[in-house]
Amino acid sequence: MSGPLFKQAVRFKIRQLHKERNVGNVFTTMAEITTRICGVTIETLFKKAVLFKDAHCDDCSQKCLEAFASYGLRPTQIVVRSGDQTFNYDLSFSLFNGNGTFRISAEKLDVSLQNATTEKDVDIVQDCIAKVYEHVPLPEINNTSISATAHATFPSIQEMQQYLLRYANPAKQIVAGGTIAYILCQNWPEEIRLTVEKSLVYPEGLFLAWSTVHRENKISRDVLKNAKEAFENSLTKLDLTVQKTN
Amino acid sequence: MNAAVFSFGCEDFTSSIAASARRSSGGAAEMPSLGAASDFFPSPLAPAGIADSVNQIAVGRSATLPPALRQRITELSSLKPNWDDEGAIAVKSFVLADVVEALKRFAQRTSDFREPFLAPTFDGFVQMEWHDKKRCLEIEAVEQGWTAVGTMIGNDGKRHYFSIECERSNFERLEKFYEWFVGIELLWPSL
Repeated sequence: MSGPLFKQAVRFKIRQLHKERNVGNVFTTMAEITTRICGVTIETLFKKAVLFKDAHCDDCSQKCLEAFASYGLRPTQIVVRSGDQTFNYDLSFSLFNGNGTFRISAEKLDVSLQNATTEKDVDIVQDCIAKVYEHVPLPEINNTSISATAHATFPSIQEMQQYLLRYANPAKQIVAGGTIAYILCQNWPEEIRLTVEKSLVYPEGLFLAWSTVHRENKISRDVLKNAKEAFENSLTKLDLTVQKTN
Repeated sequence: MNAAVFSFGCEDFTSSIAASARRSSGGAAEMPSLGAASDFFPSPLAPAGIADSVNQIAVGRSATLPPALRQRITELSSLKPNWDDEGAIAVKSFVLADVVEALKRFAQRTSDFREPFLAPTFDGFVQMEWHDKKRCLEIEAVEQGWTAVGTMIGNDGKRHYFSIECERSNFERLEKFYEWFVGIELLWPSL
């Protein structure tokens, strides 16, 4: 097949594909979703494991209390578990009726904040995470993984189905699908892994999960702000925009 | 996570959200649907959001403060968005919680606690102000933590200004500024 003929054939094929998959209608419009509930998990790995005697759990507990007393943390809620005198120990506490958990062990810091439902809740999630890094003495940090999940809804079930249609293939009895995308955003240096699938809780909703890595030292308020923006931006690459809820 | 919502008070403490997302054994049928949430929880028992809980904690913790200050904190906590008719943001609950913590610490610091004037800012933060004949102190919660501005009339009759920033949880530092205002600290705590 000669050059012009080949190009014409390719163009025809693309047009046919667009027609078959209704690409013109689905891919060009941004679908607006509203976040209903979300959670964040942060895992910071230390450069090397810290012995119990070097962990200064008493000082750490004091600093945790100072940082989180304003959120209702009481001294007796901070628990230091000492399995042995080497690496088998951790310091932990929880906030907001168990929806926020903090754990520092020999190798890592784990922070998990779940069931945030409004933008104000998300502000508190960010504040809690920033406070740990600002106030609690931590060993040298290797890297931090940041993960977030959310259930977000469309105005109607039909709109959700219309959006997910792009991943379905009725001919093969694939009635609904989702995607895993590795996305680069302008204000975030690392790849963001984003999965989108049908929510099992909200009939008109999507379940979204993001994860990425922060390779520098501590997590600051600016880093958290950038991560949040990057997570929101990553959705636009999949033709989704988030409506804010107060 | 996909099937683990509405679990206030019975949180699943898995370290990986992705792992818990995959463990969605129940499915939608077992969960109260979003629309049914208000039916599922009778209104007095409906789970408060994190921000509402923090607001309640802040107001509750202000119980040991003088009545006028306590009243002011309650007022700040109940400010609605656009409280100034110019699009101001409601006071952020985590900021109010930190303001209460700072005031409680100041109150414990000296026997004659001086009550500040508390003012909301348009962007959802709070400013604490103390004014005296010779010294004034303004501590404002900001995005990155706190800014403190001190004004003092020196022996030469001139007005001297000091300002500094510190992290949100650095209440020890804030106590120093308050001590400077009441005269326990003679020099502005710049370090």
